Amino acid sequence: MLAKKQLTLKLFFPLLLLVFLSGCWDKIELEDIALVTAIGLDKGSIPGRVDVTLQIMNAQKAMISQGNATDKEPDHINITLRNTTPVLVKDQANAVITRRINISQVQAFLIGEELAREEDLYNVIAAMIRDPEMRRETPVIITKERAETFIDRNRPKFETLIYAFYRFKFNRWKETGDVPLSSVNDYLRAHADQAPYLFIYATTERKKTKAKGKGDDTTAGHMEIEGGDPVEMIGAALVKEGKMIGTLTGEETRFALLLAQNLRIATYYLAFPDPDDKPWMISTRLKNETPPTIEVDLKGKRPRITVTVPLYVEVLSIPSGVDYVADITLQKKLAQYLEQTMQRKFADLVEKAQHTWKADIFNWYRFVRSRFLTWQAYEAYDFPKRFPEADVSIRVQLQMVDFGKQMRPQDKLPPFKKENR
Amino acid sequence: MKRTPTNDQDLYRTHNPSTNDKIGFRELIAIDFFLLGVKGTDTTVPFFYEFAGNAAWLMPLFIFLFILPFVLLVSRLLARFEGKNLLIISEHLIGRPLTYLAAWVLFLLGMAATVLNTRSYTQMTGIMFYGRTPLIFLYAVILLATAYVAYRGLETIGRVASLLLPYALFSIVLAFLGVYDIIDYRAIFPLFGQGWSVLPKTVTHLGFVVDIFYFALFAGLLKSGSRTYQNATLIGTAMAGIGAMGLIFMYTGVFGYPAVNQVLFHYQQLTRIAHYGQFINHIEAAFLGTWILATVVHFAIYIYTMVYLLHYLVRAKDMFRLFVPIVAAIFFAGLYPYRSEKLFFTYREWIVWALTATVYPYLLLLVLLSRTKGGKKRARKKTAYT
Amino acid sequence: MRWMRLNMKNQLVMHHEKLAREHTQKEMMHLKTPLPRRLNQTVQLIKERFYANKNADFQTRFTSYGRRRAYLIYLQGTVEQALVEHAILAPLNHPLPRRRRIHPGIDARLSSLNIKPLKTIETVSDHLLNGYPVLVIDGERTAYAFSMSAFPSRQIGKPDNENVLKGPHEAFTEDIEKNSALIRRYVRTPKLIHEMHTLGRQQKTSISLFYIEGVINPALVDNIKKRLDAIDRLDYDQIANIEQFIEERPYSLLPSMLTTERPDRVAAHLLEGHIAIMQDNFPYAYIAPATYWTLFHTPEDHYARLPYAWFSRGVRTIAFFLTLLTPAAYVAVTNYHLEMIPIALLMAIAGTREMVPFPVILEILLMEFSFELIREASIRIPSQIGPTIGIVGAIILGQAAVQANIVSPIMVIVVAITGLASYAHPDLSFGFAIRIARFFFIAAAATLGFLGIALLLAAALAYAVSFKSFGVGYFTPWAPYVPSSHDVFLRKPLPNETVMPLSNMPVQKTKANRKRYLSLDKSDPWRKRRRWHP
Repeated sequence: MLAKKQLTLKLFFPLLLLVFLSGCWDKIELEDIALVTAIGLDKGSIPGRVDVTLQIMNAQKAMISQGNATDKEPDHINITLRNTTPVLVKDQANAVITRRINISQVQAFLIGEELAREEDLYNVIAAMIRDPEMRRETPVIITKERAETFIDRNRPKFETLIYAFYRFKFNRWKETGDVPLSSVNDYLRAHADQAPYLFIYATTERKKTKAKGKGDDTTAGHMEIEGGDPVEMIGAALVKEGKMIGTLTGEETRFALLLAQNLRIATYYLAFPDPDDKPWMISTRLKNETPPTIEVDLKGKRPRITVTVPLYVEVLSIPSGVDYVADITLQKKLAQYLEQTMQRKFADLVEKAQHTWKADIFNWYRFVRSRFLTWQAYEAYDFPKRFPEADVSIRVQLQMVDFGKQMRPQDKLPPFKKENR
Repeated sequence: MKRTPTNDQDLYRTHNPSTNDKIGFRELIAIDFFLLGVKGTDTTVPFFYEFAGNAAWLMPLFIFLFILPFVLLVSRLLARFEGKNLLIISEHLIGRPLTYLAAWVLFLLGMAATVLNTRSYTQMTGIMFYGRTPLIFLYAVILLATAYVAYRGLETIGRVASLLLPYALFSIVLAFLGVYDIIDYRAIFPLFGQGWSVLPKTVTHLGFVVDIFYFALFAGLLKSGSRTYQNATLIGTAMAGIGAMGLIFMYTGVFGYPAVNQVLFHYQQLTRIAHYGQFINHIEAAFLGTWILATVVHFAIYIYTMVYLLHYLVRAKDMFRLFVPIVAAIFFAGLYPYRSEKLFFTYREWIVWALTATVYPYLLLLVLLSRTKGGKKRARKKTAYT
Repeated sequence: MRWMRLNMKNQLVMHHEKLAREHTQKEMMHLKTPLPRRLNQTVQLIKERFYANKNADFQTRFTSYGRRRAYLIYLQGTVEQALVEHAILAPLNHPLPRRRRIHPGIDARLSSLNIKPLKTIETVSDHLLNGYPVLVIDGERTAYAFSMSAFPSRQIGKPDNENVLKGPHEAFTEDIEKNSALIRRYVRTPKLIHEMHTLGRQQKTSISLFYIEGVINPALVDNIKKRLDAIDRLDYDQIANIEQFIEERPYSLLPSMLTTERPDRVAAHLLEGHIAIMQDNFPYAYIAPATYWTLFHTPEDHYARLPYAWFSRGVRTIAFFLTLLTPAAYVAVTNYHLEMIPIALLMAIAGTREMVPFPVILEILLMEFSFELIREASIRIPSQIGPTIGIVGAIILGQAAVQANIVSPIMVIVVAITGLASYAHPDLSFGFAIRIARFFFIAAAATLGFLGIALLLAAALAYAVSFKSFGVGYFTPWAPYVPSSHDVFLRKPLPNETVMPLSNMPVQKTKANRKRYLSLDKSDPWRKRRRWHP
């Protein structure tokens, strides 16, 4: 019996070895791959084809103690393949790249505005995602210039390795909402729902603009900022039915996200002209701790949508010196003013969405859905068609929380002295 | 397989809780979970989306409600013939020839399902993770590991399952935590999806969960007989149902309803998206590990059942010699290339129809006959509480 | 159920009787050469047997027994010389008063000594070998052996392998009598049985079985005795290690017995219905049946307070998986699933890998082999230069190999963690098993990444749960579930451990008076558990 066992063992090990040696088709060695950080897509000169740009990182630059061996090598290189399709790129690129192209760590897809406006974006992205290495959660950015140019010019000052740029940038936007965090998965979801979708909008073409003092109420490339990294990323590109049809400013983007309940707890700064002393601006911090309530009424001929936006306001600075802190009536006036201003801004945006773009950028169809019991009924109602004629009323419920960390606008006298006087 | 104890060594054996070749309550719960819960991660999900639309996540609940009376009836049937396997009961009730016929049908359909499913799981792994590895190799390796687990016997499968169950549940919870922030729960509305049309489709596709009735074949190997079968099956099925509901809810919430129809291999795609904070992301390979473990247990039970049926059919002396032909048959049949996933779904549907059309009537027949023909009357109460 | 058990007991009794019969028959067969009546012949026979002309240890002392001549025979060094002179020779040589006509028997003459009468040459030689001085008297067919053996033996020392911070610090020695006494010190009950069996033809090895009657399942004892009998029948020249003679699966990686050098641990296991097997001249006890849990636990788990014990078990559980899977996971991740590595780390690893000429799998095998080399060498190395090996290993493998770009720095971390974790496992045999198994996992990971690891893990798990040690499943009482005190991954507070692990099928089912235990909380207001009062 033992001899039999020994025999099986003797047979077993070569077999095991055979299995182990015969495997390894999918094996890759780390030093043998070229990691792609970003993929850019542009309109090709042949219709239906795209120009694909790959941004490839130099792994050796990640080491601190490499000495002079890699000093002459660049941090990353970009290659552009013209008139191709995204699926073919990985193999074609090896004509000029030594290593196996790996796209599992892609940080962002960049799509030129030209392509987004003229070709069907859905087809492009759906073709992209076919590769199993591609990830659905990858962020998508629409660039004002060609993505190729964008990638080429995007040399952040601090980040030696370019992947950090995308990562840090997105983390920051998560909190402010100046930019929608658009991902492939979300876009595919919205497209299937026949809903428009907001993409991140960015550019490296930074121009001086005529309109002054607009703050973040501008689109990428028009901010009044000097210096910094070459990339300016603010606002959103609106894509409807696979085509880009417009842009939203940073502020509009934020409001759109807020009204869609997509801006979770966010804090952002807004400045308003002082109602009492116009040239001065009141800086406030707005918080939407509780999301807006969205009520949908489909009984009438036109859908009625009532949105109540609770906002918590902290007034941070009052350079005009009007004493809003102590004076209740002035405070009420300020609150009312802020409320009206916000309401007007929201209304403007809704107006634009309903009539200029004719697109439900607030994703209110999601709230309409729960009014129906079956999918057939929902489809028959066809909300995307009815959205432009919907009755939308937006109410802002403003609550003054406090006046920042300082007691008085001028911060000269503590209040108890005033009482003594 | 059973021998009468002849000396004290054998008595030691039969009284030994770790060697008595039986499976208990916990093991059966775990086995039922792995039989059905894993279906929430495979090609069953697209069927659910087809039937119920965005209400697919309610399908496990529907199915559970449908099979609930069957589980109760079958366990009552088993209680009447306490300690006997289903086929022996069947021989008693409908005679040997008919039982043979039924066993052949069960065997062939089971084989077809095993072949199709093993192949589909292999393809899933191949496409999502091992693009350049030949399918034959993957298939062979997965089948080998599965066959080995099955070969160690039913109680081994049960123990492995019961050891792995907490990890399987934990991985579902982990997946949920990973996608928590991108779930849009509004995608489950309209609540009833495709409406009433789901009912007839559910009934015709009850074959999806026929596995737990296959398990009645081993009723004699359960520690407390029909009582274990009934309770463990209900609890295990409920757990699997809740697990599957959670998974499908996640798919709907993450991919969005009409968009989810474009997705193939939902579970794999979901785990690709799962992320924990900024730095722990892309950990689908870790989920692959737990999923493969679950898959191995799942198919080990399939293979064991097939071997058991063949053992009954050909009256083989040693059941364990049948493993080689069965696994070889599954392997070579699984290599039969079907080119498109569409065709695969067609085949799967045929098998499920066939299973629904044969197994449930067969069980009903047995239950009805058992009322008139023999067996212990009111045996359930007696055996259940002594 | 009950009648079955009774039936079983009857059968067992019958079986015991049968065994006893067989034993006496065997004894009869060994009674070969009776002692001759004449002294010269007897002494000659014994001398021939021991090659007395060549053997310096063989000592004969002439003395007299009354008027008759007598020889005291012993092997030098095995008996206590002073005691022989003092307690045997002196009284014998002391002349008797003349008026005593009838010579008193030997028992009366040397009444303070433990005397064994011997009838055959074989038994005489056995006793001489075991350190008994034997008195042979002219005209008598009986020789007398005196129990005064004094084999040199080590003092009881501290345990070398199973150290605890808190708990007894005693370990077994090579002397079976001392060991037996040690065990008896921990288990002071008349039910503790110490059975001795002698195996082996040339080197007579005495095998001791320790168990507690009324706790252990008699079938288990029988089973082990049967295995001993089977060994005995084959007449092996020597029994180097009894473990390997009686285990079921010599090729398996998993050990089926627990090896310990601590008497307290043996005692604890005996009380839970295990059996301890000890071999003479071997300072370890083997405890059977062993489960994964017994191998995973340390004695300290029960000496340390509950949360600390949990913590330490948690660390050990993690260490177990680290040893088994870290290198494999590293290979899988870097070769197959590199998207799993956070990109910053991925870049860093890829950067360092550029300089390394070998693929990851070769690199890791190289490092793991070097580590095993250090471990193997450090056991053999003379203890004076032992500490240097650590430094040499660390410098050569860590620093130099990295600087020479033979391995990447991260690999050193991986191997170091694996090595460190492998030391955390308390049981030597099981530690070996994990260390060997990890190479299989590395191979599986190199073949198919995480898929390979998972498939091998499933197969290994299936093997381990169906592995049985003396009929007891390796993962009982967890899988399959058997009533016990849940002393598996975690443990209960000591007072709550009231149920025996029924996986050993002990005759006694509880460890404490359950009834009193259940009423304990009510009687003592300070121990009362806090309950919610609405």
